[in-house]
Amino acid sequence: MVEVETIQRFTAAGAIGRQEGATPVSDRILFVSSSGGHLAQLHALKDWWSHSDRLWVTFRTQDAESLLQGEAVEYGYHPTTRNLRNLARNWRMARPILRRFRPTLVMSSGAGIAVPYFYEARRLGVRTAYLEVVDRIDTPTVTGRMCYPVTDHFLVQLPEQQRLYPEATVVGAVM
Amino acid sequence: MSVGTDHHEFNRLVSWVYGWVQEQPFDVSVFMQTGFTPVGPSPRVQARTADFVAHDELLKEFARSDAVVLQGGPGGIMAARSVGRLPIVVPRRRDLGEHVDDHQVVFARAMAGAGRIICCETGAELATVLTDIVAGTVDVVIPEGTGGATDAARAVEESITAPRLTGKSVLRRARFSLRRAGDHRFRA
Repeated sequence: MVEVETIQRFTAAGAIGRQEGATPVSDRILFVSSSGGHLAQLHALKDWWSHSDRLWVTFRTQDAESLLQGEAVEYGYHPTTRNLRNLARNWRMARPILRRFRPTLVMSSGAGIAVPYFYEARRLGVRTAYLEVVDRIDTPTVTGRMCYPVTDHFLVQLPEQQRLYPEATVVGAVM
Repeated sequence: MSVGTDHHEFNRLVSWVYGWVQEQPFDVSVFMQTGFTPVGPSPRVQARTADFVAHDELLKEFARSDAVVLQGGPGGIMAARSVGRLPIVVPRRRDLGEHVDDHQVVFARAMAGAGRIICCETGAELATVLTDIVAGTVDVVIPEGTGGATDAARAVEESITAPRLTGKSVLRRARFSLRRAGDHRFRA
């Protein structure tokens, strides 16, 4: 059960369904992403997110630290592929981060680190958006497939990817 | 030319680039990021090589190049476009031991279709493109920045105002995702 206090705070932030429209969706964005290409593709959407409050959850690698200079960042556990221990650790990080930051939107492009945040967000009534990486055209990513059932806005970059996720929206390549 | 950081060799690309450079009546300044591809010095081509370079260095090399030739990975493509170069991409192939599967081939063709790169799958195609760049009949200088990012950003902003997922949709999509659970290996 979600505590009453949490519901009140999420409601105030406009993140829960019945208060929809109280706060624009892009107001406070929680970005959850592996470092490397996943992160780069989310970062490329800067024209959209630069006006929003944001918090990034990623891995502490050189490219992430360089790309996210000046941004608010929390570092998660990696690797996530076939690593249940890190999945559990990342899951334990997700709840307090969602509670503290109170995002209006949780967004990811993968990989495994996204899963706990998407299921927790669904549970808490927080809107989610997933951007499938541009280079996966013939098969969906494991994370994409796992997040698809609970993602409000599933986005793909190329029209060829739409047959992998029939209910997705094509937004165009971010590069 | 950059082959990226994948552990497979990509001798085919190196030999195509050397091959074209050797044919030219003028000097061509070449920089090659060779990764895990063993590259010896060519007797007839003066090329600067490095197995791995820092990202900033790679961007500098791209920016000062007339032509950027890459493997079919999104990272290199994004980097080249960010410094104003339309990349020429030769995708790695599984059957030649250049990668674990053919996803680069599929990806590169789709990106070419979206106008983001020039895709070359034969030595002749690559040679033609490079010759055309020298002749000025193909322009690979593009505006700096990540190309379609502004359009994509606008599309994202519009998409997220759509209605949220209903419970029924969750179930329908879960069934869909589970049905695809066997597709975890790419088949060309």
